[in-house]
Amino acid sequence: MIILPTLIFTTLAVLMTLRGSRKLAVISWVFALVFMLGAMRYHMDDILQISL
Amino acid sequence: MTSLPTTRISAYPSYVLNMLALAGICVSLLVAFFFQLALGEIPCPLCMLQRVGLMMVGLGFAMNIRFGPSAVHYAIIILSAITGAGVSLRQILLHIAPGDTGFGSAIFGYHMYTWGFIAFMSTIIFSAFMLMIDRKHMTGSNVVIQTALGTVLIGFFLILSLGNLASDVLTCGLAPCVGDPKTYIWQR
Repeated sequence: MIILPTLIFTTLAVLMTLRGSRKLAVISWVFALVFMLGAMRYHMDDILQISL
Repeated sequence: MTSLPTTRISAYPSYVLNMLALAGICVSLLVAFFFQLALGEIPCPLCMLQRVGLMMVGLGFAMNIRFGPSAVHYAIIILSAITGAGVSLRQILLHIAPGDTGFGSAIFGYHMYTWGFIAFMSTIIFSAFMLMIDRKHMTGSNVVIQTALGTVLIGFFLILSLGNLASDVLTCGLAPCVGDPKTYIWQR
């Protein structure tokens, strides 16, 4: 569920690229990137076994 | 009514190079699917995020092929690759401690997240060179796709993207993905 929106928007962007809608493809990519950063924040929370 | 001038983008070397780069992304996604479907390695959330990173990078290459080279498209590639590399690096650090055998199978001695990091960094370097090569041809519009191969390649990339979408739904359903999934939703 957390990763799903970024997958949907990326796939939509590829579809828009294939159909020739550049503006919609770029907008979809922006949404995909925002949701990707949200998913990264949610899933990248494990404690590392090393000290940074 | 005057029509916009069109350019034969298939004549540009960058067209061929972007096609090869997108083909490379498709091969990477196919290898990931091979490990998932043939070897039964269900992707973890970080693995899935790296696949999304590859898809977003591939999107930039697809836009260069479809609309012609543009600084915006290369920015999409670089930003997506930085995001994907961040996830790869995080997973490398998770398994960097001595005695840790890593996650999943290794290919030619490296785990897939290490290959992912190498791929994302290579993409950034590739894009930097392409920005120099393409600087005279950057329009991002008024171009027509000249080869059926380009359409077929983007179509195949779309199928792989839909496959990843289906894979995520079948692995996680509508709930947050678990850290180390062992089964699909219908096996629970």
